[in-house]
Amino acid sequence: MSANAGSSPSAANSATANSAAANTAAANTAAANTSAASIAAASYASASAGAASASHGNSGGSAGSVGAGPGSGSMGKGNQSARLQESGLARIARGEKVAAIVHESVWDDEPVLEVENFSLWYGEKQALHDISLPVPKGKVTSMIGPSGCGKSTLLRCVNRMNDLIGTVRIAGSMKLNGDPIYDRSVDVIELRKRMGMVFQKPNPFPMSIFENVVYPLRIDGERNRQTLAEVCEKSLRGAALWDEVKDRLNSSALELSGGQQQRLCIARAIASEPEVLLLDEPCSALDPIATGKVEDLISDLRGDYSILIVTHNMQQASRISDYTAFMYLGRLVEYGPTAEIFTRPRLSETNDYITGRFG
Amino acid sequence: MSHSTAAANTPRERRRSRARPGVSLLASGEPMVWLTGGALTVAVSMIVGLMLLVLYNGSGTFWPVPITRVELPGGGRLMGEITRVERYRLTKPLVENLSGPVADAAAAKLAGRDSVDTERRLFRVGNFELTQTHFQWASDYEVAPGSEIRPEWAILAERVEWGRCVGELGQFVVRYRRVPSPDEEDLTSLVQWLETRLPAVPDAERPPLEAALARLRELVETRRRDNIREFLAQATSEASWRAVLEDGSEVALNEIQPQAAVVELRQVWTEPAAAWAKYLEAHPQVRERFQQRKHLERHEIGRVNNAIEEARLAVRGAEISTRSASLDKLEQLRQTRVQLDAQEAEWAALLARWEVLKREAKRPDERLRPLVDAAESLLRAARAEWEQARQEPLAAAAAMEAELAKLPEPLRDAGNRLLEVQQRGDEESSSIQRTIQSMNAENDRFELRLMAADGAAVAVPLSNIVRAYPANRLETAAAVGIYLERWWEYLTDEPREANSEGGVFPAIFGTVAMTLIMSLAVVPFGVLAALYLREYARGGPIVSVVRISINNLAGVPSIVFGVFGLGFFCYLVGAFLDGGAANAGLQTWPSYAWYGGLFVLVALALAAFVIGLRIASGERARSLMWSRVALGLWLVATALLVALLFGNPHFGGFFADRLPNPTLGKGGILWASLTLALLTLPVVIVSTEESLSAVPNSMREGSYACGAGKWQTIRRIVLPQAMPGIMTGMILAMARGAGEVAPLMLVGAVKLAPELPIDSSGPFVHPERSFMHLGFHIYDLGFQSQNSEAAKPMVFTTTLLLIALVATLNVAAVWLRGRLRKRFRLGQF
Ligand SMILES: Nc1ncnc2c1ncn2[C@@H]1O[C@H](COP(=O)(O)OP(=O)(O)OP(=O)(O)O)[C@@H](O)[C@H]1O
Ligand SMILES: [Mg+2]
Repeated sequence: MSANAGSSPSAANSATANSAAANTAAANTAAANTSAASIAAASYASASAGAASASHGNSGGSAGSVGAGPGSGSMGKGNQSARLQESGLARIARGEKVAAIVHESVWDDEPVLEVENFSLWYGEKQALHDISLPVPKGKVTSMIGPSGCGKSTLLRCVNRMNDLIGTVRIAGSMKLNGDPIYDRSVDVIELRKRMGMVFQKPNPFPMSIFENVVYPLRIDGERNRQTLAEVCEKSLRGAALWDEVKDRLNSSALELSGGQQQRLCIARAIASEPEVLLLDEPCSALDPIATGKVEDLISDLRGDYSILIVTHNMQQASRISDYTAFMYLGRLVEYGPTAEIFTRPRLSETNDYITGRFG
Repeated sequence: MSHSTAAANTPRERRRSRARPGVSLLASGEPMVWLTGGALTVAVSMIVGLMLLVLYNGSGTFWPVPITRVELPGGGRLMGEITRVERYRLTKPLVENLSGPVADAAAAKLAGRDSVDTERRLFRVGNFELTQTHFQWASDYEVAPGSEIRPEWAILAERVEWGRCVGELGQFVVRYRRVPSPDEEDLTSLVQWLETRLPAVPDAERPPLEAALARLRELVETRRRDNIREFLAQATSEASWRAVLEDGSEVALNEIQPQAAVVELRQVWTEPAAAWAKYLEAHPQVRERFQQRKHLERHEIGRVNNAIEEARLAVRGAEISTRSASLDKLEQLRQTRVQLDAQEAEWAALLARWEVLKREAKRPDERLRPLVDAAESLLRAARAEWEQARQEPLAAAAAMEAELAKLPEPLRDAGNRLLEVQQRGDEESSSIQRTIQSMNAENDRFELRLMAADGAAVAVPLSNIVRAYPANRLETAAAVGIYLERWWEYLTDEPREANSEGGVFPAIFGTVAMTLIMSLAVVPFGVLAALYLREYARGGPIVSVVRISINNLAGVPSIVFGVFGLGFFCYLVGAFLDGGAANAGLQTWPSYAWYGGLFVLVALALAAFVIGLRIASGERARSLMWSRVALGLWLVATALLVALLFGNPHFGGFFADRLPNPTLGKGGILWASLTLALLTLPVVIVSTEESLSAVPNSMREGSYACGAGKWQTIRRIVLPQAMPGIMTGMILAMARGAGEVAPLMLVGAVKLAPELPIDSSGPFVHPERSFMHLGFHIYDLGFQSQNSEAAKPMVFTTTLLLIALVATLNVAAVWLRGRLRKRFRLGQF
């Protein structure tokens, strides 16, 4: 924040009190985690340096936009579109088809999930545009992008959650370990059993904590109490919830706090030991300590599980993920190894977003 | 906004300031509090008012009220409970219409004025067989001044027949009938027999026989007098004994002529306290016997009749299956056999009487000898006649037996069984009848005699008294006892006196049973339908139309459902089940067409199934066309199935043997329940749908994400959460169904059902029986009763009961809902 303000000489003349407040809010969102504030500043500094060097050749105006970013922020539309006139994001916003930048190194690992030319419509409205990306096996892949850009939609497509919405129409294909996901012959239920999912909003079932965690096993017809109890404890420990609920496993899950409920959902998602974990902002309601624990869990699971995680927390993405995809308005903008995306993204727009200079 | 503009625009300023208080009042919500609170208050007070009215009127019905007696100007008297007091205006024209002493009294009351306020009271006078009325009004001017009293020993008796009896306690009477000695009876019969036989004896031989017969008469007479003397000896010398002679006259013991033919002794208590004490002592036993007798009549004889009816139905069934008739012949054969048996018994009795005579003649009474000597020839002649008389029936019986033997095997067996059962049944029921008669005779010995208001004596046999009490001598505890006793009778007993007295147990039972059967039918059905609509069906015009239709169903007048139930359930389905297609007025298919249809049906269903399977497994592209084809095939198959079912030429009905009496083809508790289930279906569907849609989608998604299938999700996640709503729907449906009357009148509710739908006979559950229903009972009491004044309080009481019953059912359902909720929260579903 202070770094931002310091590096924007143009801020002083045009900024009103209102826009200053908005900026503060935007910066806070970008660095939601106060303990990570310094990291944010540091990564911003290095990233902007990298971005500057990387984007100089691309467009002459982008260097100026880097400098003006914090000042103009999310204010006046005209101002912003003028600034981005030549950028890919502006062209996306105008509805042009812009090819995504996918780093070659993402193909180094064997992909567990391949998304090919995937588009999706909610009724008339297209929410995903021609997305192609491989999700490497045994790695953590994070998806970032502004709100409403289709991250959740894409994630829900992986386990065909969108089948439940009557108006959804899709084009393109997805493959899990080479098997098509969107195929008539696919047993959707078996497919979903191979994946665990944590939703953006915690959705514990109105049953006891214990029953919530072992629900996937119950579905499978598991009756052995011993097994159930073991799985329950293991999953709850994994989700960093065990110590808080071990004495009240039989009380209703609805009596838990929002953050506890979210961790309960994580425990439920890992209870059946799925191949792929789909996490939609799993830490949005968690305090730093619980977040740390969940991140530890993700790190532990790396290798055995393939994890696809949506997050608005740049630091979290950079900390835990091996690969990062940046999406905007239903399109994939840039996808590559996290280190590259955060240090030397090929697009200045990516850089703008991860440094918080883009609203 | 600058100050100057505000100042320049003063009118607007003023308007704004005036508007302020109202705005702020609205903003703080005060008027809305009053409005909303007021609406609630009005609604609640109307409901509470109705409840209080029903409670007040309904709970007082059974309270024993004192009995008042007044004298009227004409010399008449009124005695009874005062049930109502009314004020009215006595006017000149009214008085001019009166005549006789009443007119004078009224004129005196008016005293020359144009009109005057006066009061009249309604006496429940009872004694319908004397007064031809149950109630009578008396205006205050009609009552002779100072004549109003409460007779200490005024008794109110509730009778099994004729309603209530009001009168002052007169006497309590116990009768003792003289029982002739067996010899006396035998010899009397013999004398009668001889009187018919002697004219046939040749004149020469007759005189000694006539003399002997005269001697025999004398002998019988002495026997009788001895017996009477012995009989009178049991009467102690108390003055309370009276004797009744053959001609019915009653004499005091000391006035009896030595020759008088006394048939009965009566012990009479005239002192009220003693009489009442005796009554209290005797009544319970009499009632006990009365109940036993009723039980015998109802259950034992019913059992015998059922056995006979069953055997008869077996014969009828055999007749249908063998296509031959036998029942008429069997009945003739039975009657012939009964006749023969009676003749045989008569002969045996005759012989026994002769034995008695011979015994008498052994004693040194030579005058009887000629009779004994002539016995053989007399008997021989009689025997010849007897055999003559038997010849024809014997031949007839033999012929019929031979015919019976020629019948097809199963019919013959069934016929023989029927004859056997009938014979056994006749014996059993005549022995039961004898028991009943002896009980009746025993009960008839006790009698309470009351003095009606006008002094007439009313004799009430104790067996006719349900309950009697001295209304003006009751203490509070006794009154409470009677009050509770009446409630108990009301809740557990059967109705009497065209439903205006007695209990309503059959109606309670019928209401509860019908409501439960209805719930059992409507809840699963409605929940499944709602599940389909909400969980499986994709939205679309068809689903909308279905949903709107269901909602409209709730607005259809209930009598329409009754008509539908009668036409569809009773006259179509019921008649079909009774006697097959022909009985229901349906066309049957020719046999070959039927089997062809069956084949087509199987083919269609198989095709639809295979297509459906392939669509489901994804082999066939999920095209709209194929699923439409499958749906169409299913529809055609279902229609064909129905047509095949109802056009089946090989189905002759389950109760063909009872035709033309319908079994299921008429109103009954099953059809009534199903009709009401249809009526309440929208309630269940709508509330279930609502509760299903109240389950958040995120729950379903969470479950699917765990790999659960559709049904697993519904069962484990959706249904448990929707269960309270479903139960609420059930409660609403039950309340609606239990209170419904109009459709029931068409499909099985009756004024008086002789048997409950569940009892100890046969298959125990009789869904085809008609039943009593509290709602219909209210209607019947209120609008169909002869004695509407007496029925009015019962209407309130029954209403109170119905409300209480519905409330109880609801409370039970709410309790169940609470339990389910608790269980589901722990995820044990
Ligand atoms: N069920 C739906 N019906 C119609 N439109 C939808 C539906 N769900 C999402 N959308 C639209 O699709 C777009 C993408 O939504 P999505 O939920 O994927 O965003 P997101 O990237 O997850 O945003 P956030 O970070 O705020 O969660 C949004 O514009 C949204 O309005
Ligand atoms: Mg989202």
